[in-house]
Amino acid sequence: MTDTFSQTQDIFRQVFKSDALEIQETTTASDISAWDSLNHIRLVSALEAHFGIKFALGELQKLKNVGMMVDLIEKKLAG
Amino acid sequence: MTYTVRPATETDIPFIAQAIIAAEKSGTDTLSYTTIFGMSVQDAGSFLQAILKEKLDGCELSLSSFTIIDMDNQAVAACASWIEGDDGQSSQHIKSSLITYSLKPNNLEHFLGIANDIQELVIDRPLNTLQLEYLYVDAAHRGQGLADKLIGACINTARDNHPDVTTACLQLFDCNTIAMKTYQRSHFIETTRYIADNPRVKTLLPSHQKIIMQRTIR
Repeated sequence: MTDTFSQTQDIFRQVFKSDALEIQETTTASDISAWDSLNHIRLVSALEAHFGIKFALGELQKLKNVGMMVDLIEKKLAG
Repeated sequence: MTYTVRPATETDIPFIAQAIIAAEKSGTDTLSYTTIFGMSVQDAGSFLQAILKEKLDGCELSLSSFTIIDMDNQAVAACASWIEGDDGQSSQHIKSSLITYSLKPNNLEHFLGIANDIQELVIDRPLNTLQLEYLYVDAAHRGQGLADKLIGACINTARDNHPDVTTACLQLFDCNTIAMKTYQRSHFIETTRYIADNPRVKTLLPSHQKIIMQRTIR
């Protein structure tokens, strides 16, 4: 597990209020019942604030699972 | 007077933003975009126009979801409709991405502060159903069957393009009795009623009760 993946998992646990939540690279919105529209806004804004990044709209639309999300974060952090 | 039914284009964006605001109020003075995001009505109009310009398909804030009725090239009625989950993402997530991307930081902070209060009335939409939202007819053109015509056009488009879709659904606040009667006239029936217990909901949304209506389209 990369450091970015580990930090992303911590944010998922905070947003979805579940210390036991284990995300995988293949995890999608349909795997987490509480991943509704409000929590989607909370999640995206929490990731942006934590990592100091801003997602483009097109980037958000292409994310199909957590693995793609972490890859995108790492790409943005690498500049 | 000749009315024409057609898909929305970019030139309709100001009218659609106005239609969304009017429909969202559901016959009350409460506009959720102002209460939830902490912005003025004018800013809500600009915010909605910016979102509509993003051209992201698949939700109630997508320009491509809107069908327009115009008269002499002037939009006078609008309705959003889309197939839920058609591109693999729920409309809730598409709408959330649009909102997160378009909100100013202070409005996002305001939203995050009150989000828990409206959680009870955030309701999933069933996948692979035709969804209808934001039905609006300009006041000067009411009483001429334009709402019925719009609903029929949205249903016919879904029938033609999505043969596997069998059900049309919509969500509205219980205070929106005019819209409810309009949809009943088009054979929609109430299937579920959600009632929020949190008293703060009444200060943020037009009502604390949301109704699901649906009908078959085959």
